[in-house]
Amino acid sequence: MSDSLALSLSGVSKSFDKTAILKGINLDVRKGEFISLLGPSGCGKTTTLNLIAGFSKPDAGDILISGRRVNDMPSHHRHLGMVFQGHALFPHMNCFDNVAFGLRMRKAADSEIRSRVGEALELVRLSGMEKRFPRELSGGQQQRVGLARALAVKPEILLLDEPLSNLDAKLRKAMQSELRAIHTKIRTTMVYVTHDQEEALTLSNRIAVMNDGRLEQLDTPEGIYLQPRTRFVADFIGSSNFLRGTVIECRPGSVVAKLETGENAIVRTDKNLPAGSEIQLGVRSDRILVLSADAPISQGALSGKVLDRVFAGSQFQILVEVASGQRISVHLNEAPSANVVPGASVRLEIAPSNWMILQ
Amino acid sequence: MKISVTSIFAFIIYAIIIAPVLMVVGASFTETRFIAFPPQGFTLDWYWRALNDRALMGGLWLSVTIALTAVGISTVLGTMAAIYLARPKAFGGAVLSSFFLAPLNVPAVMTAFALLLAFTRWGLINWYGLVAAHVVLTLPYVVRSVLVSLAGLDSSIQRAAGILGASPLRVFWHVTLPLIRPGVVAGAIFSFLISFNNVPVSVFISSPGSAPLPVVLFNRMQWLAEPSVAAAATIAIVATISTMLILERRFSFYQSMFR
Repeated sequence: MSDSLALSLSGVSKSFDKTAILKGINLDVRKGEFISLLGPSGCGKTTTLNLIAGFSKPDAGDILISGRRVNDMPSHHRHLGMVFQGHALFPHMNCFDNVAFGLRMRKAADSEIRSRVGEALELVRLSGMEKRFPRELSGGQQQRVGLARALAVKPEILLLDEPLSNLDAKLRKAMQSELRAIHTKIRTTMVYVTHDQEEALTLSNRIAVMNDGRLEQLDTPEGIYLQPRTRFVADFIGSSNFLRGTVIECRPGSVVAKLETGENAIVRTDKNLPAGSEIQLGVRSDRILVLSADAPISQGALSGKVLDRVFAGSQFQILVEVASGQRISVHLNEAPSANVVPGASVRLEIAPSNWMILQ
Repeated sequence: MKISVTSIFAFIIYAIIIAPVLMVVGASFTETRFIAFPPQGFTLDWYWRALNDRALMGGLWLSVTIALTAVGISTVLGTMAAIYLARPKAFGGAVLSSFFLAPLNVPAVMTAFALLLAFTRWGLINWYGLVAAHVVLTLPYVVRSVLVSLAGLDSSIQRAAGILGASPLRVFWHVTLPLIRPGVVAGAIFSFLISFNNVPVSVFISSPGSAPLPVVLFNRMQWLAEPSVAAAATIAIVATISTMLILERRFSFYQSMFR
């Protein structure tokens, strides 16, 4: 089992000036995996990356790279690669020398350096740019040199610290698909820090959602999106609405819950929740149907009043106030019927499988 | 070309700075036995005299050796100090940096007096004492300008080098040093000028008979205001200006400083 692990963090904690930044992180990364550390700023994702890189030491817990404990191993012995937020290229060296730096530090032979640098630059589609200096390159090209420089040494793990956040939206998209293609091709284990949920969803094999120094959930992008474990995850990734409820009936495969709006909802779940237990429910904004108030009544619908209707390009966004006074945001891919306008009474229908039980 | 008010001001200020220098140069050509400006007649005799004057040439040689040695020492020490002080968690950083910059804020005569008291007791009123005193004087300039260079340095560049397998020493040699070189060179050049032109400290520390050039000139001016003093000063000025021009060509020194 541990042979297939590229990286393993167990109980890793770190404080700065008596403020706990990481509160016991456990994380196993398999060889060849692309894993994202996703969370808001200050959640500890960059600190985690810096600990893996060896820029600082954990106060408690162990970091294992390929099964070896590296807590006390300095950065330059860890055999890692890293791509930085600002490209961090060596401004006094041309592309070739930048990419060759790691190989030279490893005292590789000249012929090997030449072929490895060539390969790396070809991988990022920058062949022919060897003589250019970083300042002569565009932002996207600089970041690709940064990637080539990190990959040229064939690192055990490639660490990426928000590498695309300084690029404009279009370039970022292009670089995302390029990064995906490169990962598919070379299968290097990658640990990617980002606060951009879309980036994490599109790039990763698995996502580690972090919040306030803890790992909230570690799952595949689908798992994170469709079965968030906590309210934080449901809220941070995608747009969600939250309602409290009390279980009133337990059926095989589902429960009936009385919502704080006074209405009942059928919630699909494999969990065995006794009647009377309080639960936190959530529903994705794009998993709600809006029906006019005179549609035939079905079980598990919420009635409410439309507050706002916005056209946001790829979708329509409707804001509905329900009986408890909460505002439910609904995202529709197609235009709602013309009578869904501010002031109108509507019913919101939520399928049992679209309710999420959160912690 | 339009002449603006600011360019007139600039011209006046340049004139004020350069005029005394031109007077010295002019006076060195006079045929009179005393320093006169405007020069009367034209002769190169005073240069011949100055070049054959053992005290003057000895002073020049002493100045050069002291300046080069002191600059070498303070460049190395000052760069090391600045690198330590630039660390975010430098122990006693604030205290140490004001310590290193103190000679900038204390009148040179005070520093000189303090050094005289200490060096007399330690028997250092000689070449070594002069070098040590000049290191004290010039260190702040190196620390200052290297600190400025380091402040403009993206720390992730050094981290990048480290994670690519470079030990801290090799990170310094291959990445940090090339990137702060303009600051190091600027500090070294300033130090050279400060040391080469220093009078107050050198006056206290030097023993009669072995004094650096500015002290010799200073004494001569008091007792024997011969045009050979102006000639020696001119030689020193020409040497300084040509050094600056060569360095400017070689390192684009002013550009790198005021970028």
